[in-house]
Amino acid sequence: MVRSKGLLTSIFICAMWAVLILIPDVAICSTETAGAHHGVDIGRVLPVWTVIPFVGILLSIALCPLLVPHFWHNHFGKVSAFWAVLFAVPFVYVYHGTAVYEILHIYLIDYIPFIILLWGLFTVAGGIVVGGSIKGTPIVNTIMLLIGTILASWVGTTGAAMVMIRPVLRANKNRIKKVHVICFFIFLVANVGGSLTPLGDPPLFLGFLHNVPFFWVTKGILPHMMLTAVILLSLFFVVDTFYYRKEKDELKKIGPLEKEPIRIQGIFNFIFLGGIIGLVLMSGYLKAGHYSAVGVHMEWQNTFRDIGIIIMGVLSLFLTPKKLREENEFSWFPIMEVAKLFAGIFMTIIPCLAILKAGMHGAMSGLIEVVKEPFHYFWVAGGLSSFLDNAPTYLTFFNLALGKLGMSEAGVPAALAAGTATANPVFISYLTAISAGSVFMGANTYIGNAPNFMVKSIAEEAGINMPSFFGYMFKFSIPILIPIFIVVTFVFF
Amino acid sequence: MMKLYYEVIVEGSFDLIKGFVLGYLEGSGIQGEAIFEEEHHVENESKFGQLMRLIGVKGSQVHLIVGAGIHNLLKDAVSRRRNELKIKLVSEKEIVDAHFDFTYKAFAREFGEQLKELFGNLPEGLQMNQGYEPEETVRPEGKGIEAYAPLHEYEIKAKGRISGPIKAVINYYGKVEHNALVELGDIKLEYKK
Repeated sequence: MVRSKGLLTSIFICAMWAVLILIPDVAICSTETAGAHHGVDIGRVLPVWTVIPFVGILLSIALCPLLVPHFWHNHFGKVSAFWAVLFAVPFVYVYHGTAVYEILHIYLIDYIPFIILLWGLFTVAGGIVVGGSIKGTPIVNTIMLLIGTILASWVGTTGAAMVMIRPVLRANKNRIKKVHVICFFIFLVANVGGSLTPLGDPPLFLGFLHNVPFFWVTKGILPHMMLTAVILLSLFFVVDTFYYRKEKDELKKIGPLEKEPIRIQGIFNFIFLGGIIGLVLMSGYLKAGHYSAVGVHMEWQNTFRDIGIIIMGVLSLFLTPKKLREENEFSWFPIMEVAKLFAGIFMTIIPCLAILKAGMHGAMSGLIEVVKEPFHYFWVAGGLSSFLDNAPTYLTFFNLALGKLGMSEAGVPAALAAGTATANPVFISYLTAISAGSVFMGANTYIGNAPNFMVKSIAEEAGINMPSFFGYMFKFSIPILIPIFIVVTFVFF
Repeated sequence: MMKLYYEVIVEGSFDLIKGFVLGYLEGSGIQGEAIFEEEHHVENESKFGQLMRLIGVKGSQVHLIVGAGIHNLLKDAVSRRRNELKIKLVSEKEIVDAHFDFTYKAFAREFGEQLKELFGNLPEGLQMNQGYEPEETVRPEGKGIEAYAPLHEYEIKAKGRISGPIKAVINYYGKVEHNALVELGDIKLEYKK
């Protein structure tokens, strides 16, 4: 079932591609500057209220799982479609060809590659099972969190969380106090760990799709990530040691955990993972020419990358024994969630991005005036990422920075080439702050990043009494993360 | 016949009184135990009382539970050492009943069954009050993992109150307090009027 659905999805995507390439550019002209077509720069003319559907969909994602979980589980796709249609119909009615171009552009350039990458990483990571169990001592737990943190930048935070959460739960089965283990897991594996490559967290991949070089993130965010991760891991070790010592007598009464040697199954999926990394890297460095699909300027290397990722995913799907996926409780539901919700997000984000790109000429010039310093970007992008999804938040602030500095996306690689004549230190400091804020502060709430809720849910089904939404914030994220982010601000911004 | 228990309140520091009481029992060869309420989640002071103690208006007091008979011996012993140790008997009350409230919640059948078993078969003497009715919900569409639309396939939740003789209540409380899925209120005592 999983295999056939996965194959059908990949065939569908490839077929769509073929159709798009073959369709003539029906009266849709493309120009280099997004947002300026048919003589209309929509970023300068769109009023600020056109972002209401964008705000609406983000608030729906943030609030509905908490307030109406049953309704949301069954109808999130319809809610997403509602907000998308609410924006798209009047947009197309008023701006005709320009609107159609903008919609096709964001779906072809951002949405489809974004979904393909997440699908690929999710499929490949879902075939890797870490089995066996070891005793969840403070040192073992700290090492497992460290491994998860490192893994997150290469298989994505969702993939790393999926692979690592069950070994962590098994190791701590007999522990009495284990809520803190899961909360630190959310901090490190589901968020902070994903900050070193565009594969790690969706916002960084969106940055990559908008010309941020692959390894710029690695170099740019490494010091921030290292400081945050070292403080968190040290703190975790201290807290876990405290609880472990306190409950040692009780642990003796429960008896020893049945030990099984640690084994990694589906290890060949690391080859496909390497393939995905290679394909993403290739698309960043190779220039294979361009073509036009329904009037949208497309680069061949990006198309090769996406097709390659689909092949990696399909190979993983067919070569991984079904049993391994069952052990990970692998299903397509999480990726369907992302596909449906981000279809709405990418539609409704169009006016927001266009207005921000217009800089001081757009309806949000006030916001551009207010957000000035790198630490503003860190806290505002981070603060919003805590409650709204961090991928669209990143893209919004990325465009805010471009608009503020009067830059275009084409100039991003040159502006980020530190130490060269073309480098723009102000843009580098803004983007560093936006990247770190968006990724790190996703850990502030359960709704800040997709794997947070997934980890909470899996932990609860394993018998851990996870704190409520506000309990998590007031007992864990605010007292632990906020002081660390203040330290990061003083050290780096 | 059910054994009677008394709550004895002694003014003085906890460590001193604990040492004094245990030393007295040991030294006198008395077979019996003293339960220090502070160590067993027994609610013995109102928020106002805690505040008064915090600002120094009220001295520290130790609440302990002892069997009938021992309370009289202890009362005499405290009176005898009153001046030397600066300790004072504040009150003694006969305990007729004790209770505590609980809630639990779980998201896997395995834990649901364990909890139903734990709270469904109470030890002799204990009673379940306050309409304990576990609510179980099964949603087949919630099976599997979700990121943005989390829903559990299985959910059980319940709340109730367990009451009975103090010793049985304390023992049962100790049995369930380490279960991570159960949230317990403090033990409350009821006294003979």
